[in-house]
Amino acid sequence: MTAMSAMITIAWVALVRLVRGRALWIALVMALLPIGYALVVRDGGRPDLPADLFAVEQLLLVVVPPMLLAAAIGDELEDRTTAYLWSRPVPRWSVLAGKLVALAPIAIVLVLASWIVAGLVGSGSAPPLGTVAALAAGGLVIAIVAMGLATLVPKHGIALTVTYFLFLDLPIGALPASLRYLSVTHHVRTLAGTKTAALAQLDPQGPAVLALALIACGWSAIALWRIRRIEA
Amino acid sequence: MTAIKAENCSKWYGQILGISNVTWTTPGTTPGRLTGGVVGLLGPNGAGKSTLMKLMAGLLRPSRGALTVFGASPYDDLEVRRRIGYTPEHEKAWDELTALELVTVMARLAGTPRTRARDAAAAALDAMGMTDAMHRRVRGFSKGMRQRTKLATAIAHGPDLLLLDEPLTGVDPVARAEIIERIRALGAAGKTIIVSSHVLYEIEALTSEIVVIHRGQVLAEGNVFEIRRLIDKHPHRIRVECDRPRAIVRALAEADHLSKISIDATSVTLETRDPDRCYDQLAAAVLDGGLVVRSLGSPDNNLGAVFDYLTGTPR
Amino acid sequence: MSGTIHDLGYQRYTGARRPTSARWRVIVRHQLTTAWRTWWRFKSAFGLAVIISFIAGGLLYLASDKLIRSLGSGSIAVTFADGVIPMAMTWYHRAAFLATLTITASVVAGDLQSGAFTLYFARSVRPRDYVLGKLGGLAILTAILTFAGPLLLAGLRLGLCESTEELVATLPVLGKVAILGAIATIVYTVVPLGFSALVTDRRYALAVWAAYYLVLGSMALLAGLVANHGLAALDLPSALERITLALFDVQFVRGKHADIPLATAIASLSIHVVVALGILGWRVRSVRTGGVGGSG
Repeated sequence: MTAMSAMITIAWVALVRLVRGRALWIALVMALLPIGYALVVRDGGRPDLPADLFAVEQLLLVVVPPMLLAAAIGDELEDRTTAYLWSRPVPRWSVLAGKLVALAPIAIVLVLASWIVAGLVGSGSAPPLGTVAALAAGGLVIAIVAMGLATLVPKHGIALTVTYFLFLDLPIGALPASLRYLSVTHHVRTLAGTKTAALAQLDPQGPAVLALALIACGWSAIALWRIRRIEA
Repeated sequence: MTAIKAENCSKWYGQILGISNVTWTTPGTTPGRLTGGVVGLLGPNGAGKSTLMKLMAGLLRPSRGALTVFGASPYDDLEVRRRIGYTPEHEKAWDELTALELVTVMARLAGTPRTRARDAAAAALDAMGMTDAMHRRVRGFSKGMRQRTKLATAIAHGPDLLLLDEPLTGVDPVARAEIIERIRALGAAGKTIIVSSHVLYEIEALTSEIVVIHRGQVLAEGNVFEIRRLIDKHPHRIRVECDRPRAIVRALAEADHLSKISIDATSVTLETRDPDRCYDQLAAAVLDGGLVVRSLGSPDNNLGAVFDYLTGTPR
Repeated sequence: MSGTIHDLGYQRYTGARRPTSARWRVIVRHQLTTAWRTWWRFKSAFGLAVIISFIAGGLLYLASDKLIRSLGSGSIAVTFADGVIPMAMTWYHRAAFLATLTITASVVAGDLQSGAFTLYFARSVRPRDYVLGKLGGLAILTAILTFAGPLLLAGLRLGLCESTEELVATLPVLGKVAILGAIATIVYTVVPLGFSALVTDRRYALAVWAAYYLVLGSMALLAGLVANHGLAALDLPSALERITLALFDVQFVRGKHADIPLATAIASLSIHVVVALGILGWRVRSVRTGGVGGSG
């Protein structure tokens, strides 16, 4: 079996488990929340509605991908079902890659659908493509961060990821210092173009993509290093 | 080629010792030749059985020393793991999948081609008596059904080496007998099978080839009767039930190989350091005295006694 | 057929036994012990609370320093010192939220998954003992963050008073901090515990609580700003903040703050607590009557 087919098989298992479990439905309900909000406030005439909605979607981004990724990896490591995987001729990275390939797109699609539908409901027009791309990129990177944290602390993967973004990533992203370049949510806002013109000039979009890629690479490296060392 | 070879192999979990300085080799397995067999890995809870199993399955890397399976490190070599079938001791599996899906996926991950994996899985489940339940989700399975499904995941891809960690835990007596029979058949068909257990009669029913492990170290290995013979520290007990036990005592009282004689109204128990001589003299005493012997046996010539002698556990 | 029971030396325990009515205390102690065990559970939130205490304490000290006072009019500096405590309260609440993520929001679901209810109900533990024990244990942990920390700051504030008049005038801060600490303790204990009883998988219970607190909370706050200020009371931090502002008679001048009516804020927190207690009671009773066991 090639590493690729092992990855596909693991992705298939992750998908089946997701569909037959409860996580998908819980994530779906979460994704519906901003749409409900848009329905409630669409007649309020608030000019900041898209910005408010985007802020809410960012919070959704902090919860949904970790719920799927960190739970899938944490369950595997905590339930010791990795014993089945590690005893098979599959490279360990394919386990992480399989889960990422299966679950990250679903988490991203849920958040994007929520954002687009909420935008249509709230302001009557589809949100700008840049914001969609920014949320997609952010979703992928947050999923990778969740994966890394789940390999480090399987039992508290979700809690740690939410804590990381809430208590570290969001605050440093708001700092007027170069530390903000380590913040995923900061780069998501940059890519989405939701900043003021002055701030947008400070943080151009090109380097933001590069920074997100570097953060993703860093956390992928942590996850791969850790998964190679984990013993079942 | 030797199936498993451990050389001064040790494994620590931080400060906790898993196994210590284990040196052990299984009998050779040559493709095409039926040289496999079942080996029982015996030891009390916490002895290091599961650690040794995991080292053999490639789940753990030795802290010191080396352990090879078919000549390569199972932790590092993917090709070797293709030839291994392993069932962990715990019950957790991917509960959302059906038994057939689970075994098919495991067969696929072990390298069975997609076109053959499903048939191989169905055959493995059938061999474990799970045909009727193969389309049901694992979540609803009893302990015994989970064990059988686990065994099916281990055999579906046709491995040369089977590592079964406590495979009979929670299985009902009928299923246990069936599984024991299947494991023996696989061993007879040339597979090398390592079965761990702390339940003596399970191992006794499976094989007479054992490895006794205690506090992380191999205490003894080989044929159980051979091991028993080698334990000269503990005298062999021979119990004779007959009509006149005192006549036996009179005949053998002077024998220098006897260390203890116990007698009651219907039987006599002899403890000897030379069983062969003892049996000879016993036969002569019975014939000379015209005694009526109702039963003759050695209560400690079994796995339980060997295990207790080796681990120092009083029975 | 005859049977024999051999005396193997086992003797039934005949010493003093804890009365059934006090067994919830065992659960309290167990909760405290397990929460303290690893770095990822209570210690992280506790560490955050300690940092908050140092920062807020430092600010309080600086605000009461003679040099700082002499820089502006004395009254402004004293006002700032008084404002540090309510500001720090909102930080302590964040530490409490962190503790809910690592402990509280997964307690009941965790017990359901691991089959711990079997251990509880196989003994003479009643559902009310379980609920009391969990509430008690988690309330103590939360109180360390939301009650003890602010109380310490209030003590420091009193200790930094330069005159008896100032001390007497500042004395009510102790009562205010105690009231607010008690309310926050109840909210940050009961509500996430209710969520942990709502979903049977501990990871998802935690995620649902996080989504409720963060996503629904911020939506409620935003909706409160747009439509009806009362809606913002659904956001737990905003409702708590409204009570803080009322008690300390201060105003935040930056950030989004809905003008929630005080009664609405109190009603929202009360309803949250009552509903959470209802869910908790329902779950534990249904587990007791419907059979117990782990999921796997």
